[in-house]
Amino acid sequence: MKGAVLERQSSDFRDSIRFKLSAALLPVPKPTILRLTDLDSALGHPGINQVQVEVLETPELSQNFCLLPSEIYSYYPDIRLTEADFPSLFSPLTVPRCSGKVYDRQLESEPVAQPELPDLITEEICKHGIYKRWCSDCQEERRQREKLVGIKHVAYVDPFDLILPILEPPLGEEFDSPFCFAPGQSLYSFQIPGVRFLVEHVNALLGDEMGLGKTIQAIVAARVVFRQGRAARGLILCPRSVVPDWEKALWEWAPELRIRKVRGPKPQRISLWNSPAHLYLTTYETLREDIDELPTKQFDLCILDEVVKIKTPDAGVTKATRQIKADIRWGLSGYPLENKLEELITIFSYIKPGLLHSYHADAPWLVKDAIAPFFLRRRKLDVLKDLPEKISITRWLELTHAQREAYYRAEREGIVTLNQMGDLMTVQHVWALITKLKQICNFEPLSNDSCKLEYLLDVLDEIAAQGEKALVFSQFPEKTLKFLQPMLALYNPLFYHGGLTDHQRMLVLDQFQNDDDRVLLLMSVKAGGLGLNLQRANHVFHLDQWWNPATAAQAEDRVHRIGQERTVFVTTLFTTDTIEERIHNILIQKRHLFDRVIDALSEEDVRQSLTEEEIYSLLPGLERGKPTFASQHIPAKISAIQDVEALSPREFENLVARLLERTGYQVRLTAASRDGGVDILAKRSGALTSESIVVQCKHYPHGTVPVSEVRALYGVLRRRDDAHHAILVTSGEFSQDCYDFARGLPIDLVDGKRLFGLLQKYPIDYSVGL
Amino acid sequence: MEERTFLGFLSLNETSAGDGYIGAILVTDQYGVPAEFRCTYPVKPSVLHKPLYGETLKPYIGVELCAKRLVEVLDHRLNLLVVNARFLLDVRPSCNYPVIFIERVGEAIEVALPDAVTSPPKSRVACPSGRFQPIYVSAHSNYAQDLSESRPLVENTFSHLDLLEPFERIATALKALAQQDGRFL
Repeated sequence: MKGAVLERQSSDFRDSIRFKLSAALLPVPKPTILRLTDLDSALGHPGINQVQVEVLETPELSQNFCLLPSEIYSYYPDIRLTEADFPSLFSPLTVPRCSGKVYDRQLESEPVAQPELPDLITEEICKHGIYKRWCSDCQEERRQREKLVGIKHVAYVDPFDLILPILEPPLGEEFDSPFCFAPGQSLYSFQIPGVRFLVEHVNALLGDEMGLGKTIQAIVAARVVFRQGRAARGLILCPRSVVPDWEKALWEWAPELRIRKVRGPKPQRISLWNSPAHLYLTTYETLREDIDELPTKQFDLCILDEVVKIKTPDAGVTKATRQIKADIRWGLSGYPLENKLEELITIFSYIKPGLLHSYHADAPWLVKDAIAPFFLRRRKLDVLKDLPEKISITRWLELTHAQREAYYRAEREGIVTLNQMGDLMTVQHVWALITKLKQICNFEPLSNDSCKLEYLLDVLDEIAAQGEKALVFSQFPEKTLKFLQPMLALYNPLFYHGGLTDHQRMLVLDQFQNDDDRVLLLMSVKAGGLGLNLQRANHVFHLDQWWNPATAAQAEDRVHRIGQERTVFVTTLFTTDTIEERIHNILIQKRHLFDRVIDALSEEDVRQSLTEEEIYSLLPGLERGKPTFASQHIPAKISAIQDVEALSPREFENLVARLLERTGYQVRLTAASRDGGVDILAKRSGALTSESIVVQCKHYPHGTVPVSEVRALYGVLRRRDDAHHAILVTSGEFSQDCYDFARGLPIDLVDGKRLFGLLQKYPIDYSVGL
Repeated sequence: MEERTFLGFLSLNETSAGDGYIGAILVTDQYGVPAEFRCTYPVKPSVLHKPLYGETLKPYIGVELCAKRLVEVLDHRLNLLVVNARFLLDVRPSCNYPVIFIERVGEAIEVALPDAVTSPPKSRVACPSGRFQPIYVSAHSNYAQDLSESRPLVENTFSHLDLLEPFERIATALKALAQQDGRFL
């Protein structure tokens, strides 16, 4: 052997010296790589008579030093190589380039080299024979490339800024690290379990009451998951009114996170969506408009503030939100179950897909168990024992003379018009009249009369004298607040409504919070009801009531929240003997229902909220034609007791009517409301006799009919001359008192089980609709 | 103005695909707050390099190619460099500050070394606040004084900062960085 090459990597690696016998020098049958420990035996090989050792200071590998491809194949049969692999195979290992960033503020002032952007135009001569930067063809090519990769309009963010949250120290189990928050900031003790709850659940609904700091809890939880590396890109959706609040809270509570507020004209928004960030903050409506323009619909984290915004399955915002894929999905809302379990089901269909199904709508007790692991709700009463008291006051006012005249005229003319519409009348028509009447109760524009304004002027003097401030809410910014603003000029009222831009909104809120002369803030319930922090005020006036009590409560919580130090007074103004009084009576019941269902998730049928019938009943004198009952909810065939339970109360009445028809009765359904205690009138004529009965239906799935209902029906029967017999039908069951009372009376009690048996005996074809 | 103390945490990490190595150093203050982060682009040895370098491949890439370069480009002057792999102690000749290797007591594997080989200097440090499990601290055999020199700083820092925790941050950050920038894949 003429020679061999010994590679010596460095003094520190002398124990692992290797050498290779080059194929060109080898008299031996095969080239080989020998470890130093094998050197003695190699030298003992009869074919090797000379070893030429070349010591290299660095492990420069070269073509001369390496095996030929064919040799590699023969020596490493397990390695599958392509021709393209060979250049890299033979490349030496070299010192790699470094990258990184200085985060320390003291050194940040020193110039730090920015990472290079792709160099699209160089000083090279282009294929057209001129400098590329001068060549219009190349420029056009560049523009196309920029358009393709979105460079031109995309803000650049250093990737090392994006990994900064991960490099930050952990926040600690109790968030007690001195570097968790800025000086003066800390979580309340009850907020720590809330943050932990979110961090530990990839699907979660935080339903804390308003004012307990859901936003802060969500932001801190987001910080944790970003620091854990579980999220690199997140999306926050919130109502428009609270975008500035979120922005401010993110700035203060998560300074290391890069936030991209996606607002403005569409081209700007598209650019923002394409710019790197930790969190994209936008509104549900903006997402709906941009959903098809998003570079990706995949996020690691999605926070839905006021998640009830996606309660309606067919709404555009719901459809758009559902297209967002996220590993971690958190919903925030103080009132997640505003009216119906169906809405909760819709909400959870995004937060935790597959958890709830449509049949849960009639089974609140199942819902409670199903959502328990993913749902956390605390009430102020439980956790904020030192929050100032909230005193609710109801003031009943008399309409002024001019208001009363205008009111009666509008009501009378409106009802006549509606009755003339006959079958064409819809609930929307009724709604329009109700709205008009409510507006007159607030303010009568022809005379500028308003009993509510008079009341406000009386009390605002005292409020201003005490250095306190007030919010005045109405659902009619144009038809009420706009008129009142000049009349309240003495108190420098500010006006916050949906027509303001984000910037204008922020200015209004800043002025109100910081300018002592601004005593009054007039707010649209819709625009100002969610998320705002207005602790500077401690008086709230509701000029009118929103249909949903939750909306009013949300508005009140703008002032009754953390940071409020004074007693909060909430005054709701009603006018007597008006539509407001009728609405108030319904809302009292609804509030009761809300308390039970939301906070205890009781087994009440939550569908009995404000129904179409209730709206019709608000206008006495309205003649409503017999309704039609085609319903998409009715199954083609009642095959299980659950099918009966799934019906609405009106559908249930119709089912009973069809059953009576099936057994030979002629039936007539009474009006949906003001039915005089009778739902169905039925008669059957025989050869010699005629039988007339009255039927009352009580759709109480899993409920028990109390004896008072039987008594009431008996009273109805006694008053009627045209009926000889009564039937009380329920989808639930009767109390023993009912049976005791009905014994010996011409009253039949049909409970759910018996009804289902009758339906099996007399099958009804529902495919034609009820 | 009081001079701040900076610690460096140096590690060699596999790329997410497992086909290369990235050296990274995180500089923090005494409380673990990041002051600087540097990392190399991946070094990807070929299938030929692996058998050629054998067991020396990782130390060679870690020390000769990555660590020496990383400590050279730092903007901050370190008071202590902490490494999580024993072979990285070999960067010590390139540093003018102590370099220590730390491992958790109970997780350290005791290897019997041949008689001719001097055992590296090593000491046990308990967390003064009791919040973290004790650690073993080792130094380069040629720089035994690093142990005593670094001990006050180690104990002081270890009372509120788990000295192994920043390495987890580095590993997680590199994974995230690879998602942000394909050049780190």
